Order: sequence, then C-alpha cells, then structure tokens
Amino acid sequence: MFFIATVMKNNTFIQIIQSLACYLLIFLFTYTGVSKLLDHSSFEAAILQSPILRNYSKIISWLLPVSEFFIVVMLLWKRYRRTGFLLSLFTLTVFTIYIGYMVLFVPSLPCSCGGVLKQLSWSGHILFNCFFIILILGSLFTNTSNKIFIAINRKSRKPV
Amino acid sequence: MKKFFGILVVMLALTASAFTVPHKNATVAGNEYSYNLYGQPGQDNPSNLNNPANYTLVNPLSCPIPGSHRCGVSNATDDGTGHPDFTKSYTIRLRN
Repeated sequence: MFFIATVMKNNTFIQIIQSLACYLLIFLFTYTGVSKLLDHSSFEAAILQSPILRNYSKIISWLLPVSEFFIVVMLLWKRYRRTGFLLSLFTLTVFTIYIGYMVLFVPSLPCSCGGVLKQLSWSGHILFNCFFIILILGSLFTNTSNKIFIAINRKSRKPV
Repeated sequence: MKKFFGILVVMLALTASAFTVPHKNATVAGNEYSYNLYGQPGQDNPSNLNNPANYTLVNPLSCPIPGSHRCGVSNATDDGTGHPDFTKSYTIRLRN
C-alpha cells in the first residue's frame, strides 16, 4: 500500500499514464473514424439493422465519425485535452450502454464499429470499452496540471 | 518532439485503417449485400425482396443465426451502382 502511495505521488508516473491514455484514445478514435468513413456503406447498413438506430441511420453514420475526429482534435490540443477526455468518456459510456442493450435484446445483430473491432464479440466489446473508460477516469482524477498553487506572502508579494 | 507525437499517432492510425478496412471489388462476383428492409413491415414481400435498391453493399455480411427471413445476399455481382445484379447468380442469406 505504501509502495502504491509513493508511486502515485510521483508526477512523472501520472504524466506517463495520462499521455498513454491520450495517445491510445487518439489512435482509437482516428482508427475507428477513418474505418467508418472508408467502409461507410457497411457501417450504415449495420446501423439500419439496429432496432433503435434504424430511423436515424443516415445522420448517425456521418455524425459518429465526425464526432470522433472532433474528439481527436480536442485531445491533440493540450489546452482542450481535459474536454477531450470528458467527451471520450461520454462517447464510450454511450457506446457501452448501447452494447449492453444489444447484448440483452438483440445479440445476433452485427457490430456497427469500424475496422478490426468488428471482429470483437459484444461482450468482448464491453470489456474493451471498460478498459478505456477506466483509463480515462484514471487520467481525469489524477489530472494535476491545473491545480498548481503558489503561496504568496501578502506583505512581501514573493512566493513562500 | 513530444508535440508531434500526437500527429505521429494519428498517422499510425490512418496507416492501420488503410491496411485493415476491407476493400470492395465491385462489378465482379463475390460481393455481399445486406437487405435494408430486414425486420421492417413488408420485408417478405417479393417485390421488395427482388428490388436491388433495397440492398446495400457490405463487407462482410453478418447473418449469424439461420432463420426464415432474408437478411442479405452473398456471392452476388454488382450492377455498377452498389446494388446486386439479380440477373446473375447469387446466394440468399436468411436469419431469424
């Protein structure tokens, strides 16, 4: 326990985890976004077969990859990285809820995800998403970059 | 260096997607099409079943559980517009 506490206090370790999470998310969203656009007809056809998304297949098939690219831009821009993490968390949570619904009610339908992720089973996909959600939560809760305080002596106006 | 690592990751993802997304070979046999009206009213109507406009070119077609309703066709030839050419041979795929 002491060892973990010591390691967690180490900013370098936290920064490595945050950077790793950020780059993994950039890779994930770029890869899935491009795959959805490259094979757009398959992606739209998969959404058409979903009972809850069928009526919005045209909009979703374009909106989803565009949103993924938007998140990538947020993550690339250090100033908006926290917003990028929050948007990633929201997107992955919505995906996971949708997958949970599919597992419970229509497990025979195909996954509307991009690239090699199509090969994953629904339960495999939930585990995959949970890994990324934990990674994002870890990065958000250990984010110390905007919590730097400098104590200033009121009389001397010099940092103490 | 650290600044450009994000861009490098984006390029890596672009390369990976280029290699892993299946490329369709239209106008030759062996294409798979999903039936857009599966699960909708009139899905078993012959005029809908035989209308190529109700099919979308996909790769791969997923019909995991055999059944009695059409979910798509495989081994079909493209008519040049992204729909199957029903004057050539094709395999009907069914599921529940």
